[in-house]
Amino acid sequence: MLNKKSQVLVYGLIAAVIAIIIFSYIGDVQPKKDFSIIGDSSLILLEISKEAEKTLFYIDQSAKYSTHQTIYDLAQNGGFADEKECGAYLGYSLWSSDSKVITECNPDFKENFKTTFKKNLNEFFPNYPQENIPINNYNLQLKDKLSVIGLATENIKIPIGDFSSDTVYENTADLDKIKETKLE
Amino acid sequence: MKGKKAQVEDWLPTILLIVVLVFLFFFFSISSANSAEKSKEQIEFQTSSIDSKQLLLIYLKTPFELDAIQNANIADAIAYYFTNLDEELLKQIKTETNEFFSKSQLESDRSSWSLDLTNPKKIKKITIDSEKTKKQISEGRLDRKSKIKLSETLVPSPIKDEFIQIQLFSVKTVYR
Repeated sequence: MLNKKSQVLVYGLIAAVIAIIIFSYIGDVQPKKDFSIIGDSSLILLEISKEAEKTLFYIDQSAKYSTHQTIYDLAQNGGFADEKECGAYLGYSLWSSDSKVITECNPDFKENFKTTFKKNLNEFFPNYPQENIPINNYNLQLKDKLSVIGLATENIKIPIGDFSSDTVYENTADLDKIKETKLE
Repeated sequence: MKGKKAQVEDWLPTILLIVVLVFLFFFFSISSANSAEKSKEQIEFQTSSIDSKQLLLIYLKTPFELDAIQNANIADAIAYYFTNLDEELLKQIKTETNEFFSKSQLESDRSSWSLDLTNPKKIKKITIDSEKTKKQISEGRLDRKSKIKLSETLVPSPIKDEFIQIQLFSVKTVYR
């Protein structure tokens, strides 16, 4: 028969093993770390870059349809964006009036195109989830015959949900050029 | 000299301890193998999800012949289909889609693909399935668990207040 001292030692070992099991279970139910597996952060960043690409594609497509709509709107409006300097007759915009000579009423096609285009483009953005595309965000340039280049003034912010709800990373890459649409 | 019974009694706590330790060894090795398998599956899913996001974008940017737009892509074709509901255009979209995704990594022995095009404003949904998925549906082998969403994106419609939601699914092949 083992003496009492050695019995205590063996039962103590069993108690320690049981304690380890309990603690390992408690450790398992503790809140998960931000990155549970090795390489998770890299995968999240890769996913975010794809999200940015999706956003850019939405903007590209919106710019394409806005261009078409803008040409239609300007054609409907005699080339004017808003105010018709020489007024209108039976709904048709006038390019000359009794009081002014023709050149004074000629619409500035480029400026009117930019104004109408911006208005049309902005109407596409609220449909995008999280509404993370800023409104009036593009400085427009018309190049060659009918190429439209939009330069972003503000970065698009893509939230990274898996890090924490407050964390927002700015995607600064490739967001300065939205579209170059050739309409010839 | 102790009797046999007394000897067994002496060794009983030690034997018990050894049994517990052996049990623990197997328990932890199985649970660690399970967690490693889970992590592997999670990484594989995330990687395939990223690949699918890229794949969906490439698909949407694929050139498509459309009378209304020069240099059109499939996203334009889908958007125009939802504006005029031209069935001929839908047929062309389905053909292009089949051709594109059937050559991708989504089509394998173990899985296939399915694509949902939805216009929430018009409450209209079109599902384009691979030939394999169609066969699985016709044979009643497709359940909810076998269709996993891989990627989702929005494309604008020429009608400003509308948009089209595009969802790409992986469909697990079920053998019965």
